[in-house]
Amino acid sequence: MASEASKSWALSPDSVAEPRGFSAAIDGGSLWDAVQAEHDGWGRTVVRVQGDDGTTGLLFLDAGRIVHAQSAAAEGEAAALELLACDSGVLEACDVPWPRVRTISKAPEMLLLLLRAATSREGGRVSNLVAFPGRPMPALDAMVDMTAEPAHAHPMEEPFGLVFDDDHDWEKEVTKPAGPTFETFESLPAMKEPRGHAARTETEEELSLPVSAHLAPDGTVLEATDHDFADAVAYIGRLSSLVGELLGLDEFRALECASKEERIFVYTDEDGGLVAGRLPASVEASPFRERLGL
Amino acid sequence: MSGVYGSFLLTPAGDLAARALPEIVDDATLAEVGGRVVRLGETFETIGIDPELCVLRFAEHKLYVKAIAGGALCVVTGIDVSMPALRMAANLVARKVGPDLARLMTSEPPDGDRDSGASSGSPATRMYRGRPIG
Repeated sequence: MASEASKSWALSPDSVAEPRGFSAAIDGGSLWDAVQAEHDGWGRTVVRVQGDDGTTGLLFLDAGRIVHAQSAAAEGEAAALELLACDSGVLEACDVPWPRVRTISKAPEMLLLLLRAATSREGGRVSNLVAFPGRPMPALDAMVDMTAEPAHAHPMEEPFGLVFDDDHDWEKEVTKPAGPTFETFESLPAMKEPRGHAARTETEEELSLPVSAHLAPDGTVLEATDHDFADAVAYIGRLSSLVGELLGLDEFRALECASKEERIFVYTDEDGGLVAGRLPASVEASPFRERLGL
Repeated sequence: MSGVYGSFLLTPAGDLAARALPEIVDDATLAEVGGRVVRLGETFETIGIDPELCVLRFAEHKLYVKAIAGGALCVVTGIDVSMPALRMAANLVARKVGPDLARLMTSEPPDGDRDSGASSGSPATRMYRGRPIG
């Protein structure tokens, strides 16, 4: 990542005249910093990245999140990581067709965290980040159709992180399911079984639960909206496993806790970590229950 | 009910109040489970959730925990149990035993003789796939 002041991101001169082009030069920050500085955080933007190291690709942003990425060698999360790893180069807004499928649902912060981990593993060498070690490329069935124009977010959606997933038109045109969604359930019959079944590969991206906490198997907090919540999730996971051990019910997979106001879902991800999300009680939870085997 | 392996009742403190589970899981183990279940509920309370219902999914089983007047009803089931039917059954049981459990709690002396209750006081037996281990 561009921690050195000498590394910089410049705007493409061609982009200045474009209506959605960037308007300021970025110096000394990471690519993501540059994108954030120029993207207004709303609506859709496509950014072409031309790294000085020869890396080229496109980042598709919607409401401040990277929802798809393409590079010469990869697409989805792997491409995003490859592009975000560029130290310097040129950014430009461009008009290219919006992709039919959403391939990334991780928060940008999560992507950067993964990138840091990969960089650290590779000793700073990240140019070969085509597929993230130990993680498969986004599966086709993790993709959601995205050809529709963006819909206006319901005022209640943003607080629960639902802005992206509640895009009604995307849901209508699901090519293959990305997991439960909040309003339409046409994709449910094709959902895969929860962890432990042979074909299980789902991750939090596929489940589309608004993730409030994500913990590594060793308890490291990878993502959290609230650290107290993350701590509680760690303890909840431990207690649940202990309850299971005592009763001879091996391998804790998931839980749902419901109160009058909201529900909490906690599940074990494919790496053995814990993912937790909160849903208001008014949101239909059947898809999540079915998906998690609850 | 198909898919239900057994159930037990816990007091608010996590003590075992009643059981309908195979003897392979002894009272001491259930009391230990009770303590964890109570702590689980308390943990949810720390993050602003007042739990009414909690379903834990394990590889081949589920544990259904319903808060009732005077304690909690815990039901051990297989994974294929009909959840709507289980919810209904649990509601009926809760309605039936809840008041008795609440009465039991209020009538029990503060330093009541726990040994005369369901807990046997023997060391907990850890189970694995339905068999005692260790």
